[in-house]
Amino acid sequence: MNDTRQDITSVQLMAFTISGAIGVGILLLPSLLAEEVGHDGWISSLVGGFICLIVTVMIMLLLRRYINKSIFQINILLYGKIFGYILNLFFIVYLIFITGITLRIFEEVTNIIILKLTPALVTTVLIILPTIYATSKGLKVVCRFSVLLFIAYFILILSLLLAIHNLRFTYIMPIGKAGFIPIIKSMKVTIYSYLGFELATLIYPNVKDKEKALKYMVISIIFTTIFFTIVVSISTMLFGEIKLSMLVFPIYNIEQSITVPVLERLDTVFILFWFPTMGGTIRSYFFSLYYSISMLFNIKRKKLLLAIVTIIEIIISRIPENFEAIYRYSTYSGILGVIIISIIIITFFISLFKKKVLA
Amino acid sequence: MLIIMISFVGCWDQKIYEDSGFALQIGYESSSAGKILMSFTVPVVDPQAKEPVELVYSNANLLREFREDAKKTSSKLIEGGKIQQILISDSLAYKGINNLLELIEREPTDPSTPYVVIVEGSPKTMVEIAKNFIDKPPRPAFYIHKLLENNIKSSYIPETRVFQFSNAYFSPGIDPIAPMIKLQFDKGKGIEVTGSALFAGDKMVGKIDTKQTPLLLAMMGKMEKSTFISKMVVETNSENEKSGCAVGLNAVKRKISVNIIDNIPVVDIYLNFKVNISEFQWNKIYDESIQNSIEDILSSEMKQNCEKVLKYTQEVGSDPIGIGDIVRAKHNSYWEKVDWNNTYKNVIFNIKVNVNISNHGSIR
Repeated sequence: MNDTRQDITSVQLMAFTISGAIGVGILLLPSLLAEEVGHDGWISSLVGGFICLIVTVMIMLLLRRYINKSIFQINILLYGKIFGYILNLFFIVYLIFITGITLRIFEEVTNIIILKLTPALVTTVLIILPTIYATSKGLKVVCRFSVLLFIAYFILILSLLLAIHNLRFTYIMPIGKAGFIPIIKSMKVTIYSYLGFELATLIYPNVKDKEKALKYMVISIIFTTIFFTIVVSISTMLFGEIKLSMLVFPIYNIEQSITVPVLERLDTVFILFWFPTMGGTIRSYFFSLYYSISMLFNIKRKKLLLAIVTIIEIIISRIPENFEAIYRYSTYSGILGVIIISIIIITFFISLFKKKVLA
Repeated sequence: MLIIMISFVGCWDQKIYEDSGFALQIGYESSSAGKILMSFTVPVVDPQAKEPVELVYSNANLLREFREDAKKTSSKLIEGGKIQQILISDSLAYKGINNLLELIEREPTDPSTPYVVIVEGSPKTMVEIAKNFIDKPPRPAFYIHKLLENNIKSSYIPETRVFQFSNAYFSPGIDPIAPMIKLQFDKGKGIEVTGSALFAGDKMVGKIDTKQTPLLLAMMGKMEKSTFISKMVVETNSENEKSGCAVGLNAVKRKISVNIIDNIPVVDIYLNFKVNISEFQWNKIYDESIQNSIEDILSSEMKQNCEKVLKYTQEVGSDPIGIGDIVRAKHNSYWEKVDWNNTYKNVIFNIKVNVNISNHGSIR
């Protein structure tokens, strides 16, 4: 494949990781946090973001020590061929699983909100088609689309401002009532939403201006944290913790509650600009999976690989039996993600005792 | 195959616009035999139809059950995406209404922005009569919607949409309120906005009129502009029946604080109104001393009215301002110890009202 199709800038890396986190993660997060910690979900969101920030810095420092190497190559270098290979396979299993679950969540959102009778398989294929197309064109195309999604994030924040007159500040008080332990326990919910930054370990060698990569990855986590915290806070201040814990897609309920002249309903506009955002999340994971398999196994027949990955993901997305089961599977994804990140952190600490590779 | 699949997207969920009837309002009222009498109004756009509105009604226990019944008589497939308001009879409201609104919140294609309105009497009868009003918009749903919107802007009724009602219902320490309307024939035929229904939980427990509602909304921090008619600021030496003073309430700033003193919540509410004289006397020059005395009288009158409204809310056990919510937020340990439904009746309110007259129109 032509090298320049995979070349990206640090800004595009930032957009790629942000789109991997925001999109699908934001949909369920406010109500899951309301169930776990009541009105202190925004604290959990901030704490989760802070933890992810520290982890991201470690990840980037690790990658900087091994310029032009992805995590797969670093694993083999540090752990040896066999164990490194096993870790790489585990990473791919994680990507297969999380991509499938994320795809299923997008399909369920479409099914519940818009296309109730359309068969799930048809919806899934339609969701994945633009992803296949973008993936086949390379990382640069995927990242350029992710950069465009900033318009959607901006529009969402603007639309949330329209709900300000219905907010009650007392709904997020008393601050910290949930207690320290429940807030820490709620990390299992928050972490799934923040996952996306670990994908940088796969595509770091493709970044052309690596000296700025750390800075932009830090910005990506800060941006995601602020974004999630704003959405969770506004959801809590609008609905109150009891009703919020009963909502399936709180952000859609917020948009439903806003009336504007002429359009009257803002939820239809929300669908228009948020669905591409969810597609962006799928794209980030799908591309990472495809790219990592092609790297690990040195696959030459890219189109065949693309077809196989697509079929696998569609099959994985059908695993949860119903919508309620998705909550359980997204928790599993979160756990797998934590394991992957923990391995990367251990790798970082091991690397401190090994020689740096500068070229 | 892929091209065929893409071409047929949406066919399963296809809804033909011409075959769809958009229910503009839903009516709920008590019925016999353990059911609820439900009604839809659906606009008729056929140019040959003699009536512009189709009223469909039936007894059912679920709104979905009623919709399926409605399909058996209506020529259109009823959709709920444009519901403007939900009319609930007062007799049914006394029994609780949150579960009547559940479908609107559950169904993703239905917005949660219809107004929740309590009708003094039967919503179905109201719509049947309103269909024949020749001096009002031909579709009662739009007439009622415009009536509600205009009166919300004048703060004679609260803006209570479905999501706002359920937000207040589910949140501890605050109760919802909803606008009230009724048919009337003694002021020219029409539908009259009569004030606000007070709720404890989702059960209606009392009502206040359109003079009291703006003050309650001011204390809730939700008053927009309104007009206050004072009977205490009187025109002197008038032999015809014109008396009193009308002031436009242009803006209000509210400060509220809750403290627990001797185990009793004490609420200090300070309202600062910016008003203008819109109707008064015209037989002598109006100067600053007159203005000051009018401000004092208005402040005192509005304070008394506010106190009456709050006393009434305590009597009926409705907390629309959300004092309980503020106690829960700021005095949580006290909140955990008490039963707010009983404690609210003993809350001490200290109201302070300040009125500033900014101008008095084109004459002095």
